This record gives sequence, structure tokens and C-alpha cells, in this order.
Amino acid sequence: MDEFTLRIFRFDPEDGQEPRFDAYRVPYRDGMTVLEALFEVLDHQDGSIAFRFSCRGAVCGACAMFINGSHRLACQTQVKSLGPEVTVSPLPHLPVIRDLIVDMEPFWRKYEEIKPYLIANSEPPEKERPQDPEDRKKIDEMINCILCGACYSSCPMVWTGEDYLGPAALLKAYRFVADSRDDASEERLAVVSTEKGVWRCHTVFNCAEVCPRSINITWSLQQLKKLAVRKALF
Amino acid sequence: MPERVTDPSVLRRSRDTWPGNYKVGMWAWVLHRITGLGLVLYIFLHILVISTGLAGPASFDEMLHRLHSPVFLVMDSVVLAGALYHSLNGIRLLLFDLGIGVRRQREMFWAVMVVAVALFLVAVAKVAPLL
Amino acid sequence: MNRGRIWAWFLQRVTGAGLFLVLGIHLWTVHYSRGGEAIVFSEVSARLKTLTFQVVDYALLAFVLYHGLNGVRNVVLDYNITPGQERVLNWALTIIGMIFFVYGAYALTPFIAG
Repeated sequence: MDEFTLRIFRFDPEDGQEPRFDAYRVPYRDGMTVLEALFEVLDHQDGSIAFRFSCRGAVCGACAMFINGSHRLACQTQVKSLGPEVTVSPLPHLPVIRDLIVDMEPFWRKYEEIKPYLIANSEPPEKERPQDPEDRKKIDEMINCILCGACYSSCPMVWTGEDYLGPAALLKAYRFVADSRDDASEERLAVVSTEKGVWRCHTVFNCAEVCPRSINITWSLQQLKKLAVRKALF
Repeated sequence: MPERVTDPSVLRRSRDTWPGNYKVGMWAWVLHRITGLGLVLYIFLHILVISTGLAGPASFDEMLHRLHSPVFLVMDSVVLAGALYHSLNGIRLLLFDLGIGVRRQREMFWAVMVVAVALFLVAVAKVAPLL
Repeated sequence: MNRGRIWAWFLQRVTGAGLFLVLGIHLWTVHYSRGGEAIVFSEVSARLKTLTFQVVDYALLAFVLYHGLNGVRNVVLDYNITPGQERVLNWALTIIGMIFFVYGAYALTPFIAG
């Protein structure tokens, strides 16, 4: 492959035009990622395209987009794995600000609802709060989340349910519920065990399929359901 | 200069709501919904058919004789296929709630499909001589 | 924490598991084991005179109505409805369920009386 087609979603609220896709021919380099392809266009063909990025190494979560039928990180997706035609659009089901940039406000607002920080009742220690390696292992998977929003955008319950907290926020809730140092499990379960929380999840597994960190988010949500059922009914 | 994309198939594929982009678990859920809603409608029909017995054995026998035509037997098979899928995928979902197989959901979907098709064929073989 | 919501979720699982059993028995004995011959009143009646099949059929009726109507509720809840609309929905589904349970239970009586 010497060259490939890159189709980019274009929308600018200020130019009064309908959203559209523009196609560019991009020279292929070995090991090229979708993010690098976007830079190629930005630098050499069209300086007007807008996209979000930061670390370029799949640790910051800024460049989540909808690429060839799936929600992925542009920096983590090899062009080679997609073939000669690449189509990139902004994360679906979030308001588009411009081109590939979405407004993450609903995502963050819901994230805040589950109190995404450690709540410990004991006196703050001199240095840090140490944790047993065995206890830490229980939350290894959940801590890998980079809050890119791919899971949130991929969840059909988010598509139709305006106030559903979504996979990322619920994953984070479990991350703290399962943390041996956290004392606010009850408070968190009260937020999570509601219609806008875990009971909206129908185990569709889109979140687990698209997670760029390979976190099985559904597994954590199932744990939350189990805890809530046990607490409320037995 | 970039070229404007007008190919409708490209535009269709650029949406995550388009079925061509569904993943296994999504199909499992969509099928569960469709079969579930279909089966709810069928329940009411089924209750109404059985209630012909209220007017006496003769009217019940007449109704069921009428429902025994090839057309209705084929329609029955569609209902059976839906019921088999919904029941077996329901077991899959139940296992997830018990914490079993949450990391093996795709394989479990295919297992559901294999068992559903096998049971469906057994049932069809039973009814086939009548068609 | 919403206890009513959790009960509804839990009962959906319980009735689902129950249905797997009683619907399996029902489908096999009534519809398929006999090779699809036309069903006649006398045969159904003979079966429904046994306590086992009275239990199976009434459990089937109750489970199927709860599971089906709560399933409809679960679908509707996925589409942004207001608490007011949800109350109306809950009542409507409960009333439909009760009417069909009573009617369905009544429809079985001629077979039991035979």
C-alpha cells in the first residue's frame, strides 16, 4: 500500500454548511497510525481540519474517534489494520464542536456524580495511604481506564437514555467500591443502584469490545449489580 | 483539494447505529429485544386461542383444527425459533448475572446459537411429516 | 438505592429461569412430543386434571405475564421517560397483567372441569 483514502468528517458550526465527509489521498508509511495520517493531512493538504490529541501513546484518551465502524483511539489504530479506506468521524452521541472534536460535557458531568475520588474516614496519614498488593490487584483492571469516552459513546443505553451514567462512570464507581482504602461504598452504591445507574445496563458488551485498554467494563458493572442485590434483598 | 464524499454506503457505515457495525454482544441484545417483544404479542394471542374452550369442547377443537394448516405450522415454527433464542440467550444473561462467563460472552453467544438451531431442527423434524 | 427497581430486576431473572423450566415442559408435552398432531380438547383436559399440569400451566401463565410485561417496561425505560410517564406505564402494565391472568386462569377451568 503506497497510498490510501482518508475520509474525514467535517463540520464547522460557524460556516453554516451541513456536515460532510471530505476524502484525502494520503501517502502510507510503515507503522502509520490514524492519528499520524490526520497530521499528514493537517500538515500537507488541509490546515483547516480540527481534532483532539495529546500523548500519542494511548495513555491520555484525548483522540477517541469513530474509525471504520468502531470506537477507537486514533493514536492506537494502525492504518494497515483498516485497509485502503479509512473513515473517521467524531465520537457518536456526543455534541460535535467542530470536525472530529466533541463536547465531553455530558460524560464529565455523569463522571462527577459517582464521586470519582477516594473517600476515607480515617485521619489523613503523614505520607500516602498504603495498600496491600493483594488488595491493589483487585482494582488493577479498573485503574487502567483513561477516560477516553469510547465505551460511553458505544453504549446503546447512552444513545437512547439521556441520564444513563454510562460505562466509564460506573466502572470508576466500582473501582472505588472495590478499593480497600475507600469508605464510601454505601454512598456510591446509592448513586449507582438506580434507574440511571447499573439497572440500565443490559450486558450488551459494546463497552468491553471497544475499550482501548481492553478493560471488561461489563464485568465491573456486574459486580456492582451483585453487591446492590445482596445489600437490598438479602 | 479534498473530494466531497457522496457515496451513501460510506455515509451509512460511518454510524455506529448501522447494523453492519454491530458486534456480537450487540446482535445478541437486539435479537433478545425483538424476540421478546414478538413473544409478548404471541402470549396474548395464545391466551385468546385457548379461551375458545370457554364456549365448549367443540369450538376449541374447531379452532385448533383450523390452526393446524401448513401456514399456521410454519408460523408456529417462527414463534418456536424466537422462543428458543430468547430462552437460551436468557440463560446466557442469567449466567452473566451470576458472574459466570462475563469474559467469554462471544463464545457463549455462539453456544446459544448452536443449541438453539439444534433444538429447532429436532422440533421441525417432529412436525415435518405434517407439512 | 431503589429497592423496587432491584426487585423488578431480580424477579425478571427468577421468572426467566422458571419459564425455562415450565415452558420447556409445556412446549415438549403439548406441542412437539406428539409429532404435531392437531390438539384436541379431551387430551388437554385429561392432562389438566393432574395436579402437576395444573401447577405447570398456572405457573406458566403467571411467569409469562410478569416476564413479558416487565420486559416491555424495561424496553420503554430505555427511552428517557419522565417519572410521571413511568407511573402511568407501571399501572397500565399491572392492570393488563391482572386482566389477562384472571382471564387466562378462567379460560383453563373448562379443561379442568372436563
